[in-house]
Amino acid sequence: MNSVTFTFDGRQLSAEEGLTIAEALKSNGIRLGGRSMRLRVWRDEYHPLKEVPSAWVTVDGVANINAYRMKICSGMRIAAQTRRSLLAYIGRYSGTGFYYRNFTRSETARNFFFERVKRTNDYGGPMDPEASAASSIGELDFRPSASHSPDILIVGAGRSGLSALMACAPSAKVIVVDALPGEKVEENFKQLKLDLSSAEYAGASSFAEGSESLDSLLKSRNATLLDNTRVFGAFDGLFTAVSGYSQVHLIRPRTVILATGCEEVKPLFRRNDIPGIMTGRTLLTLPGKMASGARRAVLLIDSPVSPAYLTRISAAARPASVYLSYTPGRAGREAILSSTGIDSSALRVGVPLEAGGALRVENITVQLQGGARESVAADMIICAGRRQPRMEIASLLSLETGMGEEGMPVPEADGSMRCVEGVYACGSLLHPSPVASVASGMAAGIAAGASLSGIGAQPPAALTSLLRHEPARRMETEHDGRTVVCPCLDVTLADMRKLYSEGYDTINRMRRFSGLFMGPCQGARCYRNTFEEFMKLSGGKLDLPTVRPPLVPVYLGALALTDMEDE
Amino acid sequence: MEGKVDVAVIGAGIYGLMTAHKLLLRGVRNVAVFERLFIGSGQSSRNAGGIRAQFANGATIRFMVEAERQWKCISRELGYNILFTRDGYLFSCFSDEDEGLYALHRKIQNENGVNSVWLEPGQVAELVPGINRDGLVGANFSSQDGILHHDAVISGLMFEIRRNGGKIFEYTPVERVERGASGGFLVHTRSGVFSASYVVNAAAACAPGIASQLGTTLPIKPVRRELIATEPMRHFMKPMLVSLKYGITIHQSLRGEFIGHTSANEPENFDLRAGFGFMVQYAKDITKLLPFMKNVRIVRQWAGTYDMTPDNSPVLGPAPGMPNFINAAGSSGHGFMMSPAVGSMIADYIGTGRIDDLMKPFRLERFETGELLTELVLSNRGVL
Repeated sequence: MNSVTFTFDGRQLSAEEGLTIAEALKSNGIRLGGRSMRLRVWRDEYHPLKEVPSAWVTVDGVANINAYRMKICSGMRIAAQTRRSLLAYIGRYSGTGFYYRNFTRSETARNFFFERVKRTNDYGGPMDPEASAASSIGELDFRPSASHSPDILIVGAGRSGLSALMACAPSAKVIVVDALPGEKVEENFKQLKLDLSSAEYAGASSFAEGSESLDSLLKSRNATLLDNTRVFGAFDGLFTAVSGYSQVHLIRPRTVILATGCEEVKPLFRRNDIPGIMTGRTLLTLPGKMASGARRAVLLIDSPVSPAYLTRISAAARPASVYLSYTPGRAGREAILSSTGIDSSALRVGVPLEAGGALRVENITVQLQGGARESVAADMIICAGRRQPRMEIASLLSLETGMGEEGMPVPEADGSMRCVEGVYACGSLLHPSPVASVASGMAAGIAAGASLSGIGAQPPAALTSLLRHEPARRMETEHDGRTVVCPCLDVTLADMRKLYSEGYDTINRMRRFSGLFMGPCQGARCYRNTFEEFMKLSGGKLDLPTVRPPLVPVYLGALALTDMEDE
Repeated sequence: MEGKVDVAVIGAGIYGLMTAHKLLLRGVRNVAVFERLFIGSGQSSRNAGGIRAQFANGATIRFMVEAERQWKCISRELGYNILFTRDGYLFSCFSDEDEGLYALHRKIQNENGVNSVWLEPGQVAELVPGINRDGLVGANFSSQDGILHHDAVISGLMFEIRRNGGKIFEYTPVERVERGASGGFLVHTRSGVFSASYVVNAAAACAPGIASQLGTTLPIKPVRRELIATEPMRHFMKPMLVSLKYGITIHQSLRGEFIGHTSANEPENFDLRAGFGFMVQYAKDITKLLPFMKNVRIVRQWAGTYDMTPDNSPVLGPAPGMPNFINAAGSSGHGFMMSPAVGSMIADYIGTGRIDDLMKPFRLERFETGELLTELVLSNRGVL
């Protein structure tokens, strides 16, 4: 790895190439951004967005650069705009929701602390409003918006989205949107091709014709891939997406295939946000050397994950043993063994998982079938799983679905799901099994193509037979009052219980008082756990808050360059 | 469920809750509030929490000065900190032609007890670092205006009303109101009929529907307005900033988020979905006014309903010919800031039968007599 040299506040420093400014500073022992007042750890250790808002630095005289968003380059002159927050000190005595709990009680406390708190909030440094805007630097180079009017919009280029693309009629103009960069989509494609060649996928493999590479698939299906792009809104037939940080796309499709898939949700653990217990996704975003080494890791998997994903986690952490809460088929079992590299004696299947952990994980308890418990020594627990469907875009479309026992929407008999006119949902949004995920994608592709031509088309029977529902048993995790449910604003389980008993008896009331899932991530990572815990308190009652755009944060600079004239 | 109450309040928004609270303080114990959804589910928990007295007609200004006086005491009254900070409202001026109008506003305001002053561009930039000074002429500024936390007010009122024995029925829409025996009313709700001596119609944009059942016409129309919140930044902007040129209001909340709206054309309906046109318009306007904002990200956008009247001022007080039917609706976007005075004056009216002089100009009859409470500038440019 090459190293680069740069200066920070006049000091000469060096770091590895390819890190962000914040990571480079961290490797030199310099931390930007705030510390959590409840957990007493730096926010970037656990923050769900993997970046702390307004950790501003000045780079080569250009102010207001977020250190988490820009890569380090040789010769950069960096200056901090940050100072240590007062709350970092008083915060350890303070309660939930940043300021609400303490400062809504006593006016004396307010008068004493309030003004100071207001001006020293915990989200890092001030931006320098007088400085020139950083529009000339790299990723913040905002570009004018682009308009598209495809026949079919496929949201998500995972296994299901790519399957849908394979089944699309070649005459239709298609746009595929995915949040991952192109090379990751390429990986998805290769894995899908590999899977389609195996016997389990026999009914689906005929759709892969004319797709030797991702490029040839896109070309033969008249499709454009917008990689590194996230859909952030759906407004009366207009889908809005943002590429990187810089460009807004306005997409007016005739039909839409939602292949948004699942998201790995972090189960709640006692002291859950502290390294030592991490989700697979967290592990993948860390540099490899931090995760590997002489650690004994235990991998807990709650619902089926793709073998490619498992391979990547295992390469980073080399798990000593793997526990599944479900029972895979023979092919699935072999895939897990080969992708994790463990031998079959270290794999336990069909166990209701019950994991306990603390800051230093010394042992975890796993409950085996029949009530027996097994204790395993580990330095690290990795949770790959507890996957929940990503329903945000579907919710914006006012999609109403019956929810099955696993909290999954219930698909129609043909496996795909038409939620509103012209919208088809497929993939792990509906089916936890990887095979069914592919089959439902293809069914959605066929249905979308048929709706365009006006001629009905049924998916072949060989495809529908692949749609089967594999319910998983849920992971039971050990947590106590200190468990943090909302990592942006440090709301703990004890806070939720206390607020409920005090009369904040709906999630809306609780949210408005505590700031629960109203931090910078807007609940993107925590609301499912929060809802689950709230339902335990309220005996199953929950009035769902409305999902609102933008689904991901969008720069005002990019929005300002949006041209609505064509609309 | 049936019952007999002294006062039935329709709508558990800020007007309804404030009225119930002030009635309970006066010793009227048998008060029931009926709410279509949950407490504060309308614009009371969707607004920006701004409190100002910088209006442009004497009656509104005097009313707001009284309201601001009461806001100062609300935290203590409720035992719940509403996080009221008086960092001021700053009306920036970007055109020489408007300067005279701003001076006129200041004159009216100063005559009616508001300490608004003129700031030169340098002083404006001190209060709002980073403001686009291109064409900036100056600003009207009053330090007695401020910002509070509307959710804290709603929560505080809810607990205080319950503590004092008032009843709030959530998810209990009022289906019909009719006159009962001896000057009273029968309130038909989804869960039963209540007889009431007084009815307070605080149903905001739904108020005309209630009033029409008793033969009163309220000239109120619903208009959708939207707000945007950004990711949090360390706090550096003290006052609420208003720009007539760009039709924008913006302030920085306690958590450091920038919260604001712009006067995009919005439809007259109850639609609460967020619109993309608004998001883009806001981005264009705010990056012109505060250029540094282009490096800040939007994280949330939401919509609420304004209940607009022809002169952009609320209808307060008993309906003509029906002394026991009291309207408190049509606040046209500045209802929250008026609410403590509205609540206490309506409670006083119910207690004593006397209409406060400050509330008299807001009576419904003004639309027939022509004594409208029209604003000079602000309402014409979408800043309310």
